[in-house]
Amino acid sequence: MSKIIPLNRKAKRIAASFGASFGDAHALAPQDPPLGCTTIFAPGWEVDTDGGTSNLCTPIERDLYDCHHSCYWPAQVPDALTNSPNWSQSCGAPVNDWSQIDLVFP
Amino acid sequence: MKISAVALLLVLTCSVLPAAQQTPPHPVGGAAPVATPTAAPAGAAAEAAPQGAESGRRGGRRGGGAGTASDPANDLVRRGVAVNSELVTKHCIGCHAKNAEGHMTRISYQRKSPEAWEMTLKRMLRQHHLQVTQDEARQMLGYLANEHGLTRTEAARGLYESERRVHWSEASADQELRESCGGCHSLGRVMSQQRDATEWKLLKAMHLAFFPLARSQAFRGSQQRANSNVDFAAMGDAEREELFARMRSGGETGPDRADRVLDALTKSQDLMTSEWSAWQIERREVPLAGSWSVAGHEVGRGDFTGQTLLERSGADSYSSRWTLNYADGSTAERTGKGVLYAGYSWRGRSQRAGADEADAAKEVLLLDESWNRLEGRVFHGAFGEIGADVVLRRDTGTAALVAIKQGAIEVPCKARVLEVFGHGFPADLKPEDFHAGRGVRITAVERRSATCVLLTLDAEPTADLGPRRLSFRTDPGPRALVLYDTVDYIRVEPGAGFARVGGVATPKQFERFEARAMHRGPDKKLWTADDVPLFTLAARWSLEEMPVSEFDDDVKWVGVIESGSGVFTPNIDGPNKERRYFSNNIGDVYVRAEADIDVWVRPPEPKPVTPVKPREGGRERGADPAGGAVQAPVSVVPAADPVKPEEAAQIVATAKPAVPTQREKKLFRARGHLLVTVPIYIQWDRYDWDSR
Repeated sequence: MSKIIPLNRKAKRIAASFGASFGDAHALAPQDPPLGCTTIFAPGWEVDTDGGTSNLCTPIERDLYDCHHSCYWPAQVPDALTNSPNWSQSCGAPVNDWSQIDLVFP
Repeated sequence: MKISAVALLLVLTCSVLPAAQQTPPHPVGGAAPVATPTAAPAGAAAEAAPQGAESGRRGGRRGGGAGTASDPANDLVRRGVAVNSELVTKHCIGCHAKNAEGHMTRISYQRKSPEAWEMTLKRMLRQHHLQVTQDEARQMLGYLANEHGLTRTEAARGLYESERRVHWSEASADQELRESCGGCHSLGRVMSQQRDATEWKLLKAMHLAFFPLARSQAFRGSQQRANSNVDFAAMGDAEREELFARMRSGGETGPDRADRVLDALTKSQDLMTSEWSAWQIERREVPLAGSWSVAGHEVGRGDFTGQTLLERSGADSYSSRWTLNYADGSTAERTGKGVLYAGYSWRGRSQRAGADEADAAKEVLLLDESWNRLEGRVFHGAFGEIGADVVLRRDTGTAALVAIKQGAIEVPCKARVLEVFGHGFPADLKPEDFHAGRGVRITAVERRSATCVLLTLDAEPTADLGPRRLSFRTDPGPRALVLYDTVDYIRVEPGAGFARVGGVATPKQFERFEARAMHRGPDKKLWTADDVPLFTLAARWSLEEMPVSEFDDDVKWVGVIESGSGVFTPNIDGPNKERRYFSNNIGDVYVRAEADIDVWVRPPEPKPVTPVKPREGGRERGADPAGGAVQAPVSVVPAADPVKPEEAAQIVATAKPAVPTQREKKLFRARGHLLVTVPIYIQWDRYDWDSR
């Protein structure tokens, strides 16, 4: 960080939050996201393109139906086409009734 | 009799089917279907069509023995693994036709790991109305994993998938393979299978039927995507027609990325391999019964040693008893059972006496070629995320050295006591039985038991630093001794942690960290590839914000890390109303470790002597009398006693660091990255028997 100068308001705020950091300790940058369900991710699910979470859909429950009904991402969300057609019936609106969302095949 | 009756029925059924249905459709990817000598087109259709597995349920095309075997193209011999299980035949023949050679469609042309067969079996239960009891399913799985399983090297390739490892990178895998398959699931699933060419193509067909969007997202690749900036007006008629034809056919005018990947997989993961053929000839029940020495490491808990007793309870089945001694002095007794699939793949489960199911740990181990070593992972947790790497070595009756407790030795040292673990240590042990290499002298040996020996050793100040073997009599022993002069830094393991929020709708995925003392290695530079890990140490743990966005407050919400143990417990799942945009309790944070270590202060490095030529005429060549830059360094060596280059090289080579005289208590700090992300809602290897 010492070689980067913040130019705008947002950057200055980020730089200010580095106050708690210390100089003599290294941290490994997140290189390859570790193995979750998959090691390659598109924005919108487990990890964003930068390998972090800051660009994910917020909250993730808003994104569930999109993946469920369009079978957009069957590896992470039960798909409506073949495997779990009734998965979403127990939960009318995931953002409100999120505790009804279930893990499939427990 | 039953099959021939079905065949007769099929002849009648096929004769009334429209002609188009009698012709086997080509599998996606364009390869002609290859049928067995007796398999009829109807059977081939059930096998080659994307919906083949479902065809039996729909009726009409059931079975496969009917009629038109006269087609010479069908006489091509397709090699497969005959199904000899009555149970599998009984339950699967409804959809999977069986030919005279005992080959059943789909089943006979692929081999997989037990976990991959489990996913297949559960998909059949879920979607294709397979009606079996849990016990029958277990027997079927046992048969398939054993008789249609993987050889040792094949199993080793995708073992991390079976081991449920969280920290494993697939970044080095082929790019097209990663893009075609890795977008939705780990590549370990691909690597746990062997199929013939037709079967690999059918795998793509299955994906297209189940997950249609996979075609545009993963399979086609960027080259096949529709052109969004096409200028239709500028096109000629023929060109435009060709484009429209391509669009009508879904853009599939030639092999796509997935086809290229499948071609490569057909070569690298073919059904019939020389290793599999050899195993078919040589196969026998590999005897595992007996005593095995265990050595392992559990992140967050340290090293452990122990013993496993395996007792044969049936063909390839064993009952197990584990006695484990942890570095913190605690012991654990576990009992369980396990199976050895296809000669090399151990799958077991054990738990503490009186403990509940949640305590049960799964064992995924691979036997080596010598049949004397099992290596793998023992794990539990909702995602298998809590686990230990273990190595088991068979007690063959010959004394052997298996592991060393705290094998990092500070140089110089006097009378350092080293605990050595193995089996069969005799009563007449002498210090000369052990050998620790140049510069380390073993002065005394004390036999605690047949499995534990205490060595006393001295390390000279000039002893070479780095890893080395501790050998014992005829046993070369493990390369587990590490000599170091001082600790250079500590690092957090895993460097990139991974956890999932949970606890309400879905289970939590935990993460554990440990701090490891490191030595800078031969290049004398920190944070390079040759740095040597020394030992794990107790650290104070905390979380720290990793600022990536303007209002970053992840550290407040993601969860807590236990200060003493480094165990991270994620927060609950679901939207958090107190957070900006109702955000989940997810985020990126740093994990900070701090530890005080008592170490030698490293004396200053001896200065290398710069070789120079003897002065001639009192002035160095290159020195500009007019005041220009001096190119060669000016030597301080007196002209009367010049050091020749070859002598200087000798001096540098033999220069030993000075003996350290001073110790200090030094504070070390390190950080790791922790990613806490959203839950995973689907687990393909699970099946809810109660809700059938």
